[in-house]
Amino acid sequence: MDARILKQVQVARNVSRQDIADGLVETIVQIGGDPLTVRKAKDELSAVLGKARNGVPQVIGNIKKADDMAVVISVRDLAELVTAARQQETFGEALDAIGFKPYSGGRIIVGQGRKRERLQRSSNASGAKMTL
Amino acid sequence: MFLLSTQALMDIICENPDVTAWIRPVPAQDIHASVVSVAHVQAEILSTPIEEGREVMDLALRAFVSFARRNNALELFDEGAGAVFSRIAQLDLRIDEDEELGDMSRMVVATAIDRNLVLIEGAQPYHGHIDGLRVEYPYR
Repeated sequence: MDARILKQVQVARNVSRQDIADGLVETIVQIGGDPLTVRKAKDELSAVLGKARNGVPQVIGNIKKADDMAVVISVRDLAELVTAARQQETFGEALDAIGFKPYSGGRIIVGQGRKRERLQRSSNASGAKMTL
Repeated sequence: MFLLSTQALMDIICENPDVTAWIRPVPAQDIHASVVSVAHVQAEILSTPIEEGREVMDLALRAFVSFARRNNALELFDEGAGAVFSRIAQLDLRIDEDEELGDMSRMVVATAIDRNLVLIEGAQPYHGHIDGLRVEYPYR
C-alpha cells in the first residue's frame, strides 16, 4: 500500500470522521486517479480490481456527495490500514472513541470475595482420593 | 503488554486519577483484562444500589468490554492459567491490611503469569512471593 495513505490514517487520529473521510478521499484520488462513475467502474472492473490488488485503491462515485462514494481496496491493504490505525491509538483515545463515561462518585475497593471451599477427601482405605 | 488487576479495572470505571493518568497514553493494544476481573467487577456493580451509581458504572463497564472485545483483549481463564492457579492456590498470599488474597484475584494473577503479561496493580505484600509475576504500579 502507498505510504501516503497509511500516513493519512496515522496523522488523522484526533480529527473528526468527516475530516478523516475528506483526507482519505483526497489522498486516494492523488494516488489512484479521479473517481470513476459507476458505469465506468463496471466497464473497467477487471482493471480496477487489478489496481486494487496491486496496492492502488480506486474511488467510485460522485466526489461532491460524500455518502455516494465507495473505495475498491484489497483485503490485504485494508488489514494494513486497520493495523496502522490500531498501532497509533492510545487507550484513552480508544475509550473516548466508544463514548466511555466513567463513574465520578468516588473510588470503590473491590472485595476479595468468598473463601475457597476445601474439597473433601473420601474416607476410603487410602484416604487420598478427593470426592468430585 | 499489561493485564489489569480487578482493582485497576474498577479504578478505570471509577476514574481514579492515578490509574487514568498512567493508562491513557499507553497504546490501546497493550491493555488486556481477564474475564475473571470483568465478572468480579460486574458482581460489585450489581451489588451497588441504583442511587449510588449502579447504572453509570454498568454502562462504563459495558463500554470497556466493548473496547476489549474489539481489541481482542479479553483473556480467558483457560487450561494454562488454571495450571498456574493450581500452583499459587496453596500459597499464603497477603494484601493490604493483612487480608488474604482471594481466589478470583489469584485467577487473575495466574492469567498474567501464563500470558506473560505485566499485572497493573498497587504495591501489595504478596507480589514478591510469586515466581514469574511482573507488576507495574500506577498508583502514586
